[in-house]
Amino acid sequence: MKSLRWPMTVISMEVRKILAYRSDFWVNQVGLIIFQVILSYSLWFAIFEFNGVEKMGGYDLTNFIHYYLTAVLVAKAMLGEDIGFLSREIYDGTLNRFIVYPVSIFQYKHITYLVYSLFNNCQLFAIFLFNYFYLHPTPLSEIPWSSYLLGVFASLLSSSLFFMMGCILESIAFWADYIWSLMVLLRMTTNFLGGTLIPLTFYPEWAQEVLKFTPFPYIVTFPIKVFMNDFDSIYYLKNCAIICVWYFIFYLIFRLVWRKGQLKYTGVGI
Amino acid sequence: MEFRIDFYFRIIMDLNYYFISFAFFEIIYLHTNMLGGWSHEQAIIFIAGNLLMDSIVMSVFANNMWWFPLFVNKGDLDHYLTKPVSTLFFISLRDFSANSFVNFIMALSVFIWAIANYSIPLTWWQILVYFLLIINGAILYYIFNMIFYFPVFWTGSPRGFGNLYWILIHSIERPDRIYRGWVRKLFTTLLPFSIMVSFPARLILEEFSFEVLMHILLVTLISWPVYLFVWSRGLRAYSSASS
Repeated sequence: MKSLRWPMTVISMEVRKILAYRSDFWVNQVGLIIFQVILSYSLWFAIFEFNGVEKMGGYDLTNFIHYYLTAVLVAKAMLGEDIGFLSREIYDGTLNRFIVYPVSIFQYKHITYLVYSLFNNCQLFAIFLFNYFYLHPTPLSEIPWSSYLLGVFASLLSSSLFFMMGCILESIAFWADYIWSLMVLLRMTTNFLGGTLIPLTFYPEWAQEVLKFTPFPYIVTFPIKVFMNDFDSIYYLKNCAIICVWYFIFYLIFRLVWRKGQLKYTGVGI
Repeated sequence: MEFRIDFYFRIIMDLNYYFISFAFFEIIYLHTNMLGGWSHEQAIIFIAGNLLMDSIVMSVFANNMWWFPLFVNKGDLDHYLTKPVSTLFFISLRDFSANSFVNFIMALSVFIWAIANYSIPLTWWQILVYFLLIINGAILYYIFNMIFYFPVFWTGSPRGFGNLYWILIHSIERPDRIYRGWVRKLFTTLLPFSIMVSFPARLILEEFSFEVLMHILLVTLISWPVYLFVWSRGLRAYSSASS
């Protein structure tokens, strides 16, 4: 039980941080969900209307709302903590404090990152509940609870993978003076190649095939499909396994970069 | 060039944004011939206009706007309030982003390329009007981004409603005609994102409409005093000490 105490302390601390500025939090969160869905719906409504069709790429307009609603929250969960979660410590010279912490910086940062991810999954759960009790029946309310729970796990797994990719770029802070743009680049690329902006089924066949060999679809499309109940157990297990393999690969790269970087670290900040 | 690596990283980031902007529409046009009343080649001129506006904002305003809420949050605005120049002018234009200026040149090249490849020849005054209205769009972008940051005077948070603005700003990247009903009214009046690039593009891609031009100018004229009013109210609420 003692080993569980520190993660619980970190979780409670991070939740308090997330809710520190409540008005900001609610305006940004609610606004983000509503407008993201409206923007995407408007786009596809115009396309459906012009082409005079009711279904494209296996999606009708209701499916699209469901898709983008889930995509917003999965993408938010994936993004986790703000840019600079590791590089700030390097720039400020505050990595030093982890010498006296009873946990490694990697464990600490991983937990804090997942707290943000879990928090966004809770929002999806709130929407799920609201829909289930008040807007029934919609495609969202027909999703079994098991899919939701498996979706949360898939989302946390994909967030961990994105965290790992982020860690590598954040570690470049040991050499580079500012890595903000690199993280933005990673976010933009993941959103585009992962399927947050457009479902991947709309991409050309060749692009879909190429993307299977990158980590991006597993970070975004996989959890979305699970939340939409568009999966079977083989697909689920296969994707979880692929995420784990990617995670391991990035972890090895991160270890290498981190070890090299530590030799450059002066501890006084820049 | 003090932070050289960051300089190059930012150029790469912006190029990536340009690539994604075009790729997004390429994928959309694989599934439709028209979007918001525009064909593929018309959409390219619209995207080029959007990238040009974005590069102007990134070069002139973006860095300054990024720091503004942090100044308020940490109480650093005091330093600028004591300067013998307009505080708003100073904090809005003090930092010019050289790397984004490189991207401005690239965006301008894309803009010229898009116009040169358009099947219907455009007159020089049409191009000039489009360019000037894109600059106007960049100013509107700045005004509304700041209005979304001003709530930090009251909430004391480090980012205000900036994250929400980043979502809303995606509406600029789509032709205005895809929006219907109250969403359309919202994006052409209270939050005039469609006015920034889409309306100017309509002026050159379709028959010139005096009404559209007046709409753009009117919204700009109204936005400015609103922006100054919220700023002055915000300053009154500014507590100076760190939040």
